[in-house]
Amino acid sequence: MPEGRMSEAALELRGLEKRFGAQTAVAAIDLQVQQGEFVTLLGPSGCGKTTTLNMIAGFITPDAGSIRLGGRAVENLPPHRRDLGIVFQDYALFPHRNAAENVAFGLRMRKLAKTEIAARVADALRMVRLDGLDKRRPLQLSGGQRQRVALARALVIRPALLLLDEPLSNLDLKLREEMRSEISTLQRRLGIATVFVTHDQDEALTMSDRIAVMRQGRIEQIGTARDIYERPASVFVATFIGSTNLVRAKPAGPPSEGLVPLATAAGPAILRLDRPLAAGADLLLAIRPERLQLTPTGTAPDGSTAWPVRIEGVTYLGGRLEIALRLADGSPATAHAMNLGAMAWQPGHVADAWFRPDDAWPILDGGASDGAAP
Amino acid sequence: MVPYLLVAVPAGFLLAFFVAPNMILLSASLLESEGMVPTGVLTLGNFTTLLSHRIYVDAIIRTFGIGLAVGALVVLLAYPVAYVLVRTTSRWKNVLLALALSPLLASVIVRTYGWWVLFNRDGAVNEALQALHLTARPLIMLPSTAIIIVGLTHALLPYGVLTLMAALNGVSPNLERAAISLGAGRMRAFAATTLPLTAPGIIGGFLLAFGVAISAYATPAILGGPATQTMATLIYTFMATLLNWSLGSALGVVLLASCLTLLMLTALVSRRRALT
Ligand SMILES: Nc1ncnc2c1ncn2[C@@H]1O[C@H](COP(=O)(O)OP(=O)(O)O)[C@@H](O)[C@H]1O
Ligand SMILES: [Mg+2]
Repeated sequence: MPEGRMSEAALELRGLEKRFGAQTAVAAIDLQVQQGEFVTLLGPSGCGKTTTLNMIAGFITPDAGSIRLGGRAVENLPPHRRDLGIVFQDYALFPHRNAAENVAFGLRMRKLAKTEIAARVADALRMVRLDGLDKRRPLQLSGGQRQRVALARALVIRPALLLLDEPLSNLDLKLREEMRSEISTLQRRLGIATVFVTHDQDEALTMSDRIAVMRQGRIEQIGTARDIYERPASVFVATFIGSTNLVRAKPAGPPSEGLVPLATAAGPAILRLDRPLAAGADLLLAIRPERLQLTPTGTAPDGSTAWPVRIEGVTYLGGRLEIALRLADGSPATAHAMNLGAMAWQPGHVADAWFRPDDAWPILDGGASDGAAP
Repeated sequence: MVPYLLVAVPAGFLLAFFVAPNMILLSASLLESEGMVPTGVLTLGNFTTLLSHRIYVDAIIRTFGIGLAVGALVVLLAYPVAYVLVRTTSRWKNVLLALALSPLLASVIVRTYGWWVLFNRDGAVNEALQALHLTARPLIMLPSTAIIIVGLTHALLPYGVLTLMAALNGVSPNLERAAISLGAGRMRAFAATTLPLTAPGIIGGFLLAFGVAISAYATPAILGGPATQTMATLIYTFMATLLNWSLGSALGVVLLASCLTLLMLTALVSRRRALT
């Protein structure tokens, strides 16, 4: 372990900002990554993920804010002394050096003894299951193998923090899923603090301890995969990750026993919330399609919210069916149903769409959070 | 039929205007001549004459010296320019590129006379030096080999920039960043990644500048004088002033052979590059 006590956060960003001309690429980012933690920056292309990584790495100087690595301010630490392992989107393997030489580079810069370098390079290549390919040049390796060399090269220097910038986006789907679990496993085994950048929600959801959802240079929400998916703080988060139904709603009375009644465009609803909602707040009720279930009219379970809907279309997706609905107010909604064989629902049918009090989440319309009263 | 025609026309053109004159040149260099008229007598005398006279040998050596200096200067000056132009994310990038290539807009003659205007005995540089009382009398900067090198370097710089930009465009800027993240300082990272990876561009740019410089006529003719003859100006002297076509042809052959050797070197370098 480099300087900095184990108790310090591996990375701490405070008010980090970067502008390019008139354009703000990163606006006041606050983020802490604990030792051993895997944090993902998730956001659409151009939202400032790479710029953030480049500031952490020292390739770009921030306009404002502070960066601490292992508790130590790094503003005056040049990039080659920051002790970071970086995996680039294009891997950035040295094309004129073979796999072993690529991996050895960081150790040679640290002026280690030849024998130690050889031993550590061999270990690192074995760790990423590339033993035997050490003499291959990058061009003689497959995409997945290059990816592994890049990982080995970044990890062999035992960095305090690992930065990965969309490392899987150049791989085909199957390999991507394989590398996903491989990177996760490796990261857990080594216990190395990691910042992973992606625009792919599946990667973020499956790999991360915590996800920071970014939009236009800001962190819109930060939390576990479950937080982000089930309790989105904004419409952007709710719609960027997975798909969701959004229904206009307002509180319709005081809560009782943790249950809050709402009046929505599709009919009355009941939610379970641990905090009261501000009276009269304009809300958007977010309901994931897989939580919205269909049942013949009048047969929804007691205590659930049931809305009358009309079935507009059924799309066959193999393992499941995507059912297009129209709500009471005429707005569209989507429900997912397991494909259990019988095609019970046909366009034109009228039914009830229902969900439990825990299956919907209120978002304050036009803003963040759940509209909870202060 | 049409494909053959497509090849035949340019091939015929090359044959008539490139191969044939060079064959005549080659044969003239091996014949004795009386005045402008080559006789039928075979001889190597033209080449021995060239190699046994100090002024001719000097001109050949000077020409190669100029080629080496221009090649090296073009690469050294063009590399940083090309590097900045390729790596900058500034929105002025295209303006900068246009500026770097703007010398191409003026003809070589105009550009070369520009240097003459600056550096001749009564030129701008001498007047400035005297006005500032840095020198009492005008400096003789022209004609000289140095000013020929300056003129040629200036004329060939844009080609160097273009060649090196092509090479640099093929090298991801992330390579240097990767090297830096692994603990290499900026220069070290550059030397370990971008520099070796652009070596073919460096060699190509050098050979291009070298080849054009040793066969350039206008610049050494305008900025040079009798004491700074190069192969090209000497050939002109043989042909047009001394009316000795055989000697001129022999020197032409020497120049041509140098250029061909160069071409083969280039091909060899790029072959080796392709194999690795
Ligand atoms: N060097 C630069 N000069 C000007 N604008 C830049 C530069 N780098 C990034 N940007 C802009 O900043 C924004 C964020 O870019 P980036 O961090 O690369 O996004 P991401 O990695 O999330 O796709 C983008 O709009 C991009 O165009
Ligand atoms: Mg990016």
